[in-house]
Amino acid sequence: MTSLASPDTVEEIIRTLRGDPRLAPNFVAWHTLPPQPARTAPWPDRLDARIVAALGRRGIDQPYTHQSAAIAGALDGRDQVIVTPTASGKTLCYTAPVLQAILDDPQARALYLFPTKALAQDQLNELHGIVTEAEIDVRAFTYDGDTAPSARRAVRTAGHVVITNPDMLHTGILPHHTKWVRLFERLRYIVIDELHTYRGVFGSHVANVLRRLLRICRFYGSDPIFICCSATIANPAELAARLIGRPVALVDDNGAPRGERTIALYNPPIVNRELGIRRGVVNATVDVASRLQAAGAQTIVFAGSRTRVEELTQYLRETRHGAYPDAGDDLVRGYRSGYLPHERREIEAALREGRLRTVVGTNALELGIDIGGLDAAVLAGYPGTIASLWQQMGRAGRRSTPSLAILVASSSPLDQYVVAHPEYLLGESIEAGLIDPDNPVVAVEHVKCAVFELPVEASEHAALGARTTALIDVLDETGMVHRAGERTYWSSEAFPAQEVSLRQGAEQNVVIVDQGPPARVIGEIDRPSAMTLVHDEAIYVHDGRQYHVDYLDWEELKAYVRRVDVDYYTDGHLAVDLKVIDEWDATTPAPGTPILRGHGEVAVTYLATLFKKIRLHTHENIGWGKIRLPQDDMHTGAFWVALDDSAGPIEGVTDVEAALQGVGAVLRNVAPMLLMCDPRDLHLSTQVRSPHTGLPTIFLWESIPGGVGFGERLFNETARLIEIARGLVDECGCYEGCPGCVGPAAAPGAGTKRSAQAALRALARSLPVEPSA
Amino acid sequence: MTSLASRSLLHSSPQTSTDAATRERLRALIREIDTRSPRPAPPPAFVPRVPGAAEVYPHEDMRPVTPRGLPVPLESMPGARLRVTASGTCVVREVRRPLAAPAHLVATGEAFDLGDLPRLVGAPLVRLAPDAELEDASVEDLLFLDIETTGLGGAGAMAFLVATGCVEGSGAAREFVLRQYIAPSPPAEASLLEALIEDAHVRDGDPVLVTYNGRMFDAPILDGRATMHRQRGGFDALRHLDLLLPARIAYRGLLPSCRLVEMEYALLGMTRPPSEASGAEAPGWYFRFLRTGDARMLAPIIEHNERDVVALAALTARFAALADGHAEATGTHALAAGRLLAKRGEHDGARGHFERADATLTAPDRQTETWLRLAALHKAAGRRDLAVPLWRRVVEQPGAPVQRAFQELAIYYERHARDLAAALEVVDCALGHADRMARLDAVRAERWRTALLQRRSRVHSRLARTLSLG
Repeated sequence: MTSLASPDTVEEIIRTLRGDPRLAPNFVAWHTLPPQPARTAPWPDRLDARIVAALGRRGIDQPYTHQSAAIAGALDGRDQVIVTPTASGKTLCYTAPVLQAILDDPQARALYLFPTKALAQDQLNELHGIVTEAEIDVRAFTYDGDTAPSARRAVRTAGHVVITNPDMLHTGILPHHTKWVRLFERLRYIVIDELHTYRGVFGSHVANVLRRLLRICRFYGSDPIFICCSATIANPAELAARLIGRPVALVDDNGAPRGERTIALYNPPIVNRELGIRRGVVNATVDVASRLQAAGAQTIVFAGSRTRVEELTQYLRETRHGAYPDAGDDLVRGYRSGYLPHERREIEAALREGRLRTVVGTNALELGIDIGGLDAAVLAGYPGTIASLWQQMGRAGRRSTPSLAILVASSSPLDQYVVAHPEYLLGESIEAGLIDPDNPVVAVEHVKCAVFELPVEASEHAALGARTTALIDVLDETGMVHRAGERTYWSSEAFPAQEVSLRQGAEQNVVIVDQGPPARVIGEIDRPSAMTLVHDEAIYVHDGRQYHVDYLDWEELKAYVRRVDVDYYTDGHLAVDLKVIDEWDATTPAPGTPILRGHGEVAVTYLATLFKKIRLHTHENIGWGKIRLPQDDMHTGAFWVALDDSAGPIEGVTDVEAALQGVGAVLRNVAPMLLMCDPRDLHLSTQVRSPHTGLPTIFLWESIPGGVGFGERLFNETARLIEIARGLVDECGCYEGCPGCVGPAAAPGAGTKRSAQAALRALARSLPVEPSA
Repeated sequence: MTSLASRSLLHSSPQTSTDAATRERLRALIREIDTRSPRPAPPPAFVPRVPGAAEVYPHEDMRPVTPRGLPVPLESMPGARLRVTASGTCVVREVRRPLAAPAHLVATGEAFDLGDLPRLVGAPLVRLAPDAELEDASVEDLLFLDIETTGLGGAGAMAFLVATGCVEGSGAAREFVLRQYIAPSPPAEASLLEALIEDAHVRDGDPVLVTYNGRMFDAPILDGRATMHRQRGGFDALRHLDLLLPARIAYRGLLPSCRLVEMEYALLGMTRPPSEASGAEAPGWYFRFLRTGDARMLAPIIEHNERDVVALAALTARFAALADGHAEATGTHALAAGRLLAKRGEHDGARGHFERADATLTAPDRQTETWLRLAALHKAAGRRDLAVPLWRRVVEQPGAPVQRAFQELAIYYERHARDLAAALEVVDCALGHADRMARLDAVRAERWRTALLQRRSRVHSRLARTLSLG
């Protein structure tokens, strides 16, 4: 173990950075958030002395204000959502009332929902600690795909606290509720952590799962109380209320102390004046993070992609110097999806214990995985949303000492906009979490599941969603359910929960096998990414180590690799193409109507074509090769709208391509609000001359294979979509375009905003807003 | 910037699509979803045995041809009666057959011998299910049971048909009583369970369930269904002989599988008539019955279910008789019976079965297994001398798994017979086998070779010591 004589304090590091002649000029903004002292409140009276004493032994003498309020609220039976920053002790907000409930009634039960298995495991360990300290007989288990079949019976009958995820609740617990009688009969609390992740289509599914859960609880006579926790979003109480279907009290008076936090924006220096090219984001991040490393600050570096994580891990290992001259590679680690669970646990523990000084991760580390607070965070590029930005920056932050978070901008217009307008980040315009549980394509699957789980009474229809009656009628016609009077029965051999997955993708993974000897699995990777990362001859990098892919078995989904040491990495190119397969509805162009819009099914094809070999550090291209893999198709729903310039330029549009980009960006910004979905549920493609329409065309297509009907809704509500988009652009105070409206201008003077405004005017003229809208 | 104010505009707007339009669109959506995820193929067309049934089939995929909720036409099912319970009405069909005569099934024309059932008490029963609680069970306690469900599991798979079989009466008047409980509609399942629990004395008696895979399937499903109807089940807690478990011990690897049909064929010589509906088709028939209200749709599954329970009873009796020597087991059945007895610790009985298997089996792999098992029994009884010829036969059998036998022989000669020269000879012979094995499985062969070479050098040095001492 290397010991560090005296690491610099964060204040000293900031002074150094601001005084560094090479780096200082590139910091475009410094912003300091003052320290917040701890504010505490008494323990609620009803909390058992044993719990208070056990918490005291764990160093918690008095709860913070938000903890006190949340515990009291939960004990009073209020449904709540608690919104406080990372590491403010939100776990206590639900642990205390749950333990109290079990002390009051040893048969009481609690169900915890976490979005991932890793978080569930974390929570289990934490709970075990408190329970052991308090010497209370509380049995807590995780129940997920990793639970051994032999242990499942014990979990079902003996577990006071069952920690699971929504997917397991959906397929593994609710359809088998008769085996969970003990849980459902005495279910006192439902804890939903990381609530903000349940948004968009995924959140809409989860809301329906919760409707089913509450119905089963009613059947067994329990009426559980919800305790939800969320990261900062614009509308936590609204999202929670829509998810659980009833009003929720908001607890957001954060009493946790926080040291002073400094936020800095770093714009890499221009390295080529003529072309205006800036130093690349990876190298610039290394410039900054290596200083922090040298000064001994425990640092987390966030990167947007797996390749970047590995690149940064490798570079930061090489530049390591100063504080830990003799330590091995273990001072710098990567952390991303694709690492095996035990490897992740090991990294998390090393971070908590301080052995690991720099971790390079993707947004997998945004969620509440317990790694403690770090000294500094460096973001290699803007993560795309303000909510993510704050979550990543929030990983830096100690309770009593100062911390530092630095955003290193890439050269993309979005990043450049952000560093040029710090007020955009520091303002209040954080994103909202939107869901639409009544989306018929989503709801129909859960109505099926609900009927399967328990015959549905007519009086229950409303609680299962606004469209339940209509959906049941249709399902009855198809024979899938059997309606007898007021009650509807399942009448199919199918197991409906297995036919719908709450989240798309990631169902097929390619396993990466190091051929050794000894041969062993070193990681896995989702199928679409495998096309460009582990194709034949690729250099796959795992935790900074290079592996050559000898053979990718696409049938068996296995990549056979061997350890190498080369001075290059590979960068695969994926060609994405969009084709209209089937037009379900469209407006026909008529004289005087300069618009064409439609919706239907599109095929999005992904074809890995070739890869480049790129030398490390210099990033020069030293060779290339072909990738021989079949193309992957995804069929999904889409909406499209064309700018009709067939009869001549559209009035006011100086640059059709800029107008297309601008209108596309604003429609994509607005559509999620109309659809109550997450921005990630929609993709934007623009075609300057679309083969389908023959015109400059904007496509908004769905991320989910098959789609959930967004295309049709946008088609039916195009007038309103355009109206809102116009309002947004016209009201927006930006000059040339910004991420919130038409997107940042690709280049100064491109006229993106003006052209987009003109195009939107033309679209609006052709689409009178109907009275109903 | 994204203005949150614009969101209120969205919230205040009314639903744009009317309910009728929604429905139309949903129909299309569901059709589309259905084509995307193909459902299991519908059961193959049923060969109608009931006159007039053919007229019904053209409508099978349409809305009910008869209004729902019509009473089940009982006349189409001999022996069936409506049964009114506290939670509703179900149908119970009862058929009594004297034990003394073969049980004839009208539908298939088959006859099953149930005459040995009364012997299924005490040791023969406990041999099949090693449970001390079964020692004092009487034949009247046995409750053969088989259920038909609309799916393989989960809260949505209902039990719509349950058959039980038990022995009632005494002496020559003893009868095998088959009862079938039928839910004429999904809610009637509550009544079905109530009637079943009452008749079978699940709560006020101490029956022994006899099933095929009932530990995993029938019992937990019935208990889950009872929970769904807010009743107390209790099937899982009953004494239970799940015939699948001894069947696996005895017949694994000897039959193509241990499924009930294979066991019926092997032990009873029965093959299922081709016209018979299979269990997998049962849900399809039941759903058709629900849609049409026509009891003839149920006929094939009621017959199938009846046959299952009668066959289960005959099979259990036959299995027990083979194991305890009441019926003479030869060949494969002797090997199987020997396996079961050996597992239960009845070494003498097992030896008898294995010896008979040795005398009657011809398939080399089964011979080898018999010799190895017989040799293991001799060895356990302290008679390695009797085991040696058997191990020798194993190593001389071409293609046999010889590793174990070589090891036993080498140990025998080195330690027990103290014939070091013979031990060396065995090891050298084994090394030749290991070389040949290397072509098939190099890793295993190498591991074996290493062990053999170690043994050889040890025997060598002992031999040298003996010689020098001598």
